Amino acid sequence: MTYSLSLDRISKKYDGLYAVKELSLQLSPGVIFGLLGPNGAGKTSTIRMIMNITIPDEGRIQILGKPMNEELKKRLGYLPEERGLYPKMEVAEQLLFLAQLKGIEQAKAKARIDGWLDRLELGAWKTKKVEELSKGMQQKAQFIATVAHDPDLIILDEPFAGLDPINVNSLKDIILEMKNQGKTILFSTHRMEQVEKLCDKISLINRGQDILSGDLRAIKQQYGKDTVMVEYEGSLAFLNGFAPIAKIDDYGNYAEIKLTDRAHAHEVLKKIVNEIKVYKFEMVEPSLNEIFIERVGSTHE
Amino acid sequence: MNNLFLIIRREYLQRVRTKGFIISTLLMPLLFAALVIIPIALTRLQTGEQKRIGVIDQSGLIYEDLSQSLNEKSENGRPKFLLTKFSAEGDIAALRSQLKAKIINNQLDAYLFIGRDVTQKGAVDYHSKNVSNFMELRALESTISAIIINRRLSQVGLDPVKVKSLVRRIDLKTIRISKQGETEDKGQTFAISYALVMILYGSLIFYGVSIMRSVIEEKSSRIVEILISSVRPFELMLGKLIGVGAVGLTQILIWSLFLTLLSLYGVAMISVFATQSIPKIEIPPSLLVYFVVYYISGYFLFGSLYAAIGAMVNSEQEAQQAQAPILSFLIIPLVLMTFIIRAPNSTFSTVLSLVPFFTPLLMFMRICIEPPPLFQILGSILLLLSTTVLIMWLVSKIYRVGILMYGKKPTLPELIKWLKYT
Repeated sequence: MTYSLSLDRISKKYDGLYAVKELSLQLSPGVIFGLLGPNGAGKTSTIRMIMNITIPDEGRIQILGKPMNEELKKRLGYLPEERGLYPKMEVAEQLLFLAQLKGIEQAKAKARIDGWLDRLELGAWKTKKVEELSKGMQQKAQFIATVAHDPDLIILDEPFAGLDPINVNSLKDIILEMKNQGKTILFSTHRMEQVEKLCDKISLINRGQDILSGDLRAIKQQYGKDTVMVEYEGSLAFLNGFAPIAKIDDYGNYAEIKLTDRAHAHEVLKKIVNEIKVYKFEMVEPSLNEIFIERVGSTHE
Repeated sequence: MNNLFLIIRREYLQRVRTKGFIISTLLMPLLFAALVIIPIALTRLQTGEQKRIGVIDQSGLIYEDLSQSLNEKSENGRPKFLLTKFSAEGDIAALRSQLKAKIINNQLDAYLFIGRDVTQKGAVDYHSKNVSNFMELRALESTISAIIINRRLSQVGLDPVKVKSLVRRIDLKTIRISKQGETEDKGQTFAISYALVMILYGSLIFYGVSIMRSVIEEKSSRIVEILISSVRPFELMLGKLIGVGAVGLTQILIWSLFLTLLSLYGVAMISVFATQSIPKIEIPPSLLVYFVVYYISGYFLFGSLYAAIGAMVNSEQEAQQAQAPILSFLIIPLVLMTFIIRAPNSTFSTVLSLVPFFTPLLMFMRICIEPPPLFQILGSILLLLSTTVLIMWLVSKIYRVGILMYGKKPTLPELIKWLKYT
């Protein structure tokens, strides 16, 4: 089977420092892939290499089974981290230009763009110049530019940054819809809740290196059900130093408690119901956030 | 190929539709029109005002003739000068102060004092509040001169009409020899050369800077990453060059259309008044061909240099400094223009005009003034074209890296590294 995207041990150095080091990944069609990592981990560097904007010092990149060429560019959709459109050009005209550059003929491109503009509630702004749009609207226009030519592989660099919850939701729906059409989507983010809802596979990178990758479900299972999720009222301070607890992530009225062993859950429950009001007590897989902090934290030291 | 066309079309349409383009394209000819039409219209529209001049004629010889010949110059039936004679008998000093008072009280515009010995010494003085109206004063002066000269001639027994025909000046006709033949030239070669060189110079700078600006705009609006994910950087650069170039040609075409119409009008108007025949303004077709060749190749040479500057810098302020070396290639030929006109075929002119960066302006100047040997012209074109191709190739590499680089302005060693980067 040909992968939609395959990176084979790619490395890139800037001024002697690795931005990306021996990174590999394979994506099959119909997969949503999350590229995770803290700021400066090498996510954008990786994406820029995939898009052939920069070239890896070492390693090989294949897109839809072939090294990048001009024809393949037409089957890719790219949303860069630094958003950009011509400020003085009208929205619809600009989207048409960009879609035509991707090889879509005018009439077809027009119809598709109109559809997208209506769907993302930008229909009334068609003939406005981009600079007259709000930041959020510009983002949506930029997203249309990414997908209007119906690409097979879609690369989104921080797609949710700067969007309000309603738009985050509609973007999420569109991404899922595209997955169901058999398209491959790769996006980078450091917002874990989006990843948890959307991704099939992830790669967690830090300092340019892959520190955790694979199937999201498998990763979570691998971390086991040794975490308790508690919703409460009061203070959890009395739990400090309680032996069965390895770690507490306290959010005020919600906490994730990692146990030294899942067998100790009963003891913990007994202890806290005596002290405070508990609304919910549940054994869960650790959240990706938890895993992220743990893994990145441990490599930071 | 299709992408290139799309990029050219975008560049062209986006520019041609701006208010700036429409205004400058239409306003310029209007300005020219104003410069041509208004002076012509003004000369036809005489001020109806009469000039009241008092005359003190001590000699008693001039007044009659003067009032007669000035009245001949009257227009719309009303004499332009209204002369009043004041008696030269009595106290001259008192008369002078009396006339001075009249001028100050606006009862009179000026007075003329003609001395007793005017035919010998030729001294006449004109007193007025306004002595800057050269046209009128010149007319007055030459009329009085003619009268006095005629007097003098008659005094020594010569016939003024005969003398006039005897001392008639010669008329030095300048005739320009070229392979096409001989044409009378009253300075129109210089005027045309100057105009064409200025058009070359102006549009090379103007459109070069436009290209640079547009590269900076794409870079700072960050759209360039999207474009590069669809097209080759070279296509982007070439599309920009051709698109902006087409805008320039459109503008020049519109202007020359206006100018042709205007000069037809101008010539028609002038010929109504002018006594002399008007030199026929003819631009040899070969000159136009050379203009187009040097314009286009010069445009691509300087346009790609400007594109490189745009790709290397992050803001217009940085670009101002970085473009100085390019600008000097264009300014030096203008500084040298007077020298080239004096010695178009000197070794200095020849060598400099063969340096590709100077060729578009300098060689064209030389062709305008005195066509150099054909092999020099063809050689310069060949050198210019090959340099242009080489520069475009180098620039496309700088461009490829530069447009995606943000931050610090590159140093020379970094630029060299960019050239090696593929």
